[in-house]
Amino acid sequence: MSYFGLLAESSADKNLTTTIITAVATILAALIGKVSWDKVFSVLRRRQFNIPEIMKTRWNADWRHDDGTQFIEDKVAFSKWTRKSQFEGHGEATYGDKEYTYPIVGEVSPNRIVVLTYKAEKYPTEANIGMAALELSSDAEQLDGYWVGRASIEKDGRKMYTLRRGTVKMKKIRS
Amino acid sequence: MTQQTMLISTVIAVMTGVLIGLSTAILWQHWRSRRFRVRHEIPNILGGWRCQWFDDALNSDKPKIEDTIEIKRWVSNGEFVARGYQPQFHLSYPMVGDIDPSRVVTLIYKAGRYPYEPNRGVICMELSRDGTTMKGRWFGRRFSGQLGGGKVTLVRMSESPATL
Repeated sequence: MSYFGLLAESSADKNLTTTIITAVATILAALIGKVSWDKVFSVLRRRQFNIPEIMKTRWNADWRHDDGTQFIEDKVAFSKWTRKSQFEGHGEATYGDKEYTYPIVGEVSPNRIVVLTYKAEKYPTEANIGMAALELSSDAEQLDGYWVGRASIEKDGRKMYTLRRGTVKMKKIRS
Repeated sequence: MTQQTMLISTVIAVMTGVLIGLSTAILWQHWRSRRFRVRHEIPNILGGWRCQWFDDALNSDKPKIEDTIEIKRWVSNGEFVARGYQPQFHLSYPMVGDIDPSRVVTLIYKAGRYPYEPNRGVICMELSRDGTTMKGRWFGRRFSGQLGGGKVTLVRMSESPATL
């Protein structure tokens, strides 16, 4: 084989090797990118601070005004961890014959304080927003605390919206 | 030499792409936030606020703690980030918040060295019509470890105009 023939063969080999390396690197990058790093960091953080697993659970929630009268009794579901010890969920409330689902976002802190923010089903057009600060029991079966949020109040036969508050108790529903 | 030039060109192209992507994302979030606030006539609450924290357990008219909160920037829609400054205990603590079309402001605060000093809670307030005061309640963990709450009042410190 001539000198130029050898050079061409060597160049073709190099090109093939480069192509293979690039392809492998692309596949590896795609696989690494596919891993949800937020989920990985969330698991590590929850392990580090011994935060109990409360996702994929449903809870009976009893929301009361500060005078002890009932505001609403509904169901709350915690769906998935999002990042660190933050999570997403939703509430299911029934007003009359209609069922409403409203989104919830929250976070569990290392000392088992759970903070929640809830918004109305059709937020922001039906703006209704509120928060809760709760303490998770040591067996992770109960949440007790307080809520504060925008809610309606009847005054002189008229419906008015104002900030209201009270207590909230949640009990895990066993399936 | 040609390979080096190609490598440098590729690195520059990738970096330019990343920068353009980041700038577009930030501008997009700003635009969304501004559109949300203009549509719902939400005043600009960025700036400094003098904050008074009362505690139901103390049963007193005097605030338990006084500090300042700086609402730093809008993040998306009505969401914003803020920071609290507590001169008495030399603390600075991060906050994230949200204002909704009905002018209800919600805030979540964390201890200065969270999660190693896990002290956190929530604030829910109503913004006044003139955009200069916020009044509401806080609920959270006290230093004693118990959950508690009380009234909270924020008054705008600077005379910045309440623009959208």
